[in-house]
Amino acid sequence: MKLHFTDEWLRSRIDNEPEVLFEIGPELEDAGLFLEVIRAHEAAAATSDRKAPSRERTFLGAFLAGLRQRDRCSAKQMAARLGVEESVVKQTETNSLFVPPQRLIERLASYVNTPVFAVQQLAARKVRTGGYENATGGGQNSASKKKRRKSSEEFDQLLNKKMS
Amino acid sequence: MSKESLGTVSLRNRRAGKYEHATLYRGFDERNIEHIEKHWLPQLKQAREAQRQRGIDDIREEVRDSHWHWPRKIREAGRDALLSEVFLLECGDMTQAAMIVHKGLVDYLSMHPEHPGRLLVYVDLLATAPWNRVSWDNPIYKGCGFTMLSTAISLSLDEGYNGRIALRSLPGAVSFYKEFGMTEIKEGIGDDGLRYFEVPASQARSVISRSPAEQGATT
Repeated sequence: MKLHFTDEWLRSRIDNEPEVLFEIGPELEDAGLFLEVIRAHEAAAATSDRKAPSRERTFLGAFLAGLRQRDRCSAKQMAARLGVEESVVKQTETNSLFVPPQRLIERLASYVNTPVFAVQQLAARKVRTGGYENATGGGQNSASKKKRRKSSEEFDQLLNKKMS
Repeated sequence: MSKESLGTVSLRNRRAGKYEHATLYRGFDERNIEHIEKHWLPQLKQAREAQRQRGIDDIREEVRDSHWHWPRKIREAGRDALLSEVFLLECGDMTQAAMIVHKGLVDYLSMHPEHPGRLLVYVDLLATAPWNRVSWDNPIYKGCGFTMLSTAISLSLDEGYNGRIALRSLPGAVSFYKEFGMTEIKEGIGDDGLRYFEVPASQARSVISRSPAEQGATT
């Protein structure tokens, strides 16, 4: 890659540069915690012994799945809690091309007591979960069960942190 | 992940009152992650705590990016070089600034009336080390912002987007982007209230070549 500016030009601009902030990026305080939750969920999924093909889904889908895991409820039960159709929950969790309805975003935001914007951010990003590279193959053993339980506990702790 | 040196640029050491050589990198290595984790974030968190103790709840200024989870974001961006790029500026054996851009994604199309709907390079995150920030006590290096934005335009030129770049500005940085020569697109303002700026193709080369006096004449 070629730089299309010269050091002389850069110096002339720096000499005249106003002393102001230039950082870029939306405020991700809430989403930051969401991402922690999702990572923990991914870690839990990665230790699963079930060999699953790699698939892509939105951060929102991963988060929703994580919430269900935490609350130990089925897609149908979560749908009832959120006041949406079961298919909406399932599609959001598994289909990266599915566009979740705004009412899901709003009710989910209300459910986890966080700004709607933070949940919208999750819907816009995709995450790769499962995958052959993560699958351990074979039957379950106590070590992998323990590892998975630990990841789930970490996941719960992060969610509780978010909810508190 | 590996990194490639794009060349040497100058940063002004405010304390010493002179320019120093910095190296601009495309990509990153674990050393950069370590710099951010062990040097940037603790200081940012410390600053935030200091603000809290002073009773300042609004963290919209200096310390807001302490929650950006830069190390993870950099790793994520590094996973798919076709879509995202990481650029780093090193000086004095330390990472001084970092930028993550997305290129050619349909999520980020130009809104500029000159070329609506065209692909561009979108600057997603840009931050300088805490000790370079203007409101820090006796900040060190100046010039990180201009260097990084000019690099984003260079990438856009190289990738065939004719220099088009876009970004959303935090409130405190609006004047900086105007000064840099970017055009604000009112329609681009987000639900979050962040203002949207673009460098159109027709201006890209001049933005990174014209003198401050010429810049002043056009803004």
